[in-house]
Amino acid sequence: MKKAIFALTALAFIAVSCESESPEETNDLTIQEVQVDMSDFYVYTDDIDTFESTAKGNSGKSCHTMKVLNQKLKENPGLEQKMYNIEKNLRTFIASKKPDKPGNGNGNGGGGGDDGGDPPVDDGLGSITIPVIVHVLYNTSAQNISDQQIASQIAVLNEDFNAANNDINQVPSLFSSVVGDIDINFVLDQTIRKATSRTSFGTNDAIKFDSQGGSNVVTPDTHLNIWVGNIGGGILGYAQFPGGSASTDGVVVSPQYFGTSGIATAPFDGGRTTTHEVGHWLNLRHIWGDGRCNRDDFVSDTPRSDRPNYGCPSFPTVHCRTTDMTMNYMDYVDDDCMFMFSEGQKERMRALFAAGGPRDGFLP
Amino acid sequence: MKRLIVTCIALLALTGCAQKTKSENMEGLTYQASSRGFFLEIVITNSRALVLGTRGGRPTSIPISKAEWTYFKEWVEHSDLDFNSSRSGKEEIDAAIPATLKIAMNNRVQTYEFDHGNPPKELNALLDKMLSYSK
Repeated sequence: MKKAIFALTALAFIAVSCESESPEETNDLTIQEVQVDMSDFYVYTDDIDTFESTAKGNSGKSCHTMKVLNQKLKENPGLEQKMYNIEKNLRTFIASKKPDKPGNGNGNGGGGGDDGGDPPVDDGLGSITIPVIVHVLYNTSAQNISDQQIASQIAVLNEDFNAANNDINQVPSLFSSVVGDIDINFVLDQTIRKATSRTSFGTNDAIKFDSQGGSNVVTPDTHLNIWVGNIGGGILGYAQFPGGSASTDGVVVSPQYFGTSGIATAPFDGGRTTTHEVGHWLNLRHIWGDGRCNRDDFVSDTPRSDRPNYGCPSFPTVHCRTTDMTMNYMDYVDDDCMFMFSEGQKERMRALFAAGGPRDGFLP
Repeated sequence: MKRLIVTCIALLALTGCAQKTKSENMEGLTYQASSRGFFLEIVITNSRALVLGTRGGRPTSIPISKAEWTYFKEWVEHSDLDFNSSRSGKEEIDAAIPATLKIAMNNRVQTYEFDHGNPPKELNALLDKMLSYSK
């Protein structure tokens, strides 16, 4: 019995310690002190519904999340802490811009459904320009994509991040009031072309290093690096969240899914794979939250869902008792069927550029 | 108090024994790996392997022999299936393809989730055999 009491006391102590050791805001955001709720924050996705976990009734979100988080924290504590800090800072920044509704920035804390969004917020950051470095790694002449194909991708990014895409009029009325004009512009600064002996790069970031047949990152504090090379294994492209290593900061896209011309291949020839990956690079999560209904993407105006949508879904597509925003760039539909960011996503992305934020080097 | 603890332990032990001795016939297997640019589903039944390489497409049906089915059944029924598996988290940034293996027993369905191409070592042999039908 004494042992049991001791064990319980120890567990309680560890839990309290965990809480008190939660990473704190460390940068110098010069904004008013605002309380934000971080209880819903997660970094890694759910474990699974094994018989064992089900039998043990392990369905509590926070408990389960903490288990996974703690496990991963051991593996990479620095990254986790950075991501927590970034999340807390951006929520604080967003909340500080909403004097009438102080809160956590995502509007819904740890549970419940999304609330349909708030009025647009003027973050005071103005138009943001992002210089882009494109690294072309080619094993075949076809993979050495043309300047025209690269330009077509930059054009799509500019359209999509300014709500100037010609398919935005397809947004259904249910979501038309929350369409976000991100007001971010992309300018091609440099194209680096390198032949490589590698036929595919996989997703272990070899493409980002000269020493591994790739191409080293260039000034990631002030430039978006896009590596275009064959990834293989059914992966169209992948990204890195803010807070990761500077040497791998950027996005990777296979040449068949980059831009709208040249070797771009349907149904991913609309340049939206890169739009999606740049969304991750700007801290957006998948719109379904990479989990079940209780997992959010930390954006209040995107309805909850428990799965990605594919192809070109019919409207309405309902999951978690709400209509999915399947046409959002952060879903998994085909290029022709995604055509909007939301206002809430805009707030998340742009908050990264605030003074002290992880992408503040992009502002003058 | 001691008596209560002993009783609890005895009950737990009995429950555990009951589970072990309960008949656990394997009835089928389903593997699915799905991402934006990739889809693979393999279903193993007692007579066929159904392979679907395109989302919404038509599956290819491959007959499997009695010996092959016995291999799957015995592998499952003689393995310790009570272990945890999890995804790497790389699917959050599209750097991994989420995969799910479901094992249908007569009294339950056991589900494992992991990255396609990077399963838990305990499932390697089973998945190698299943995935061979898609090659």
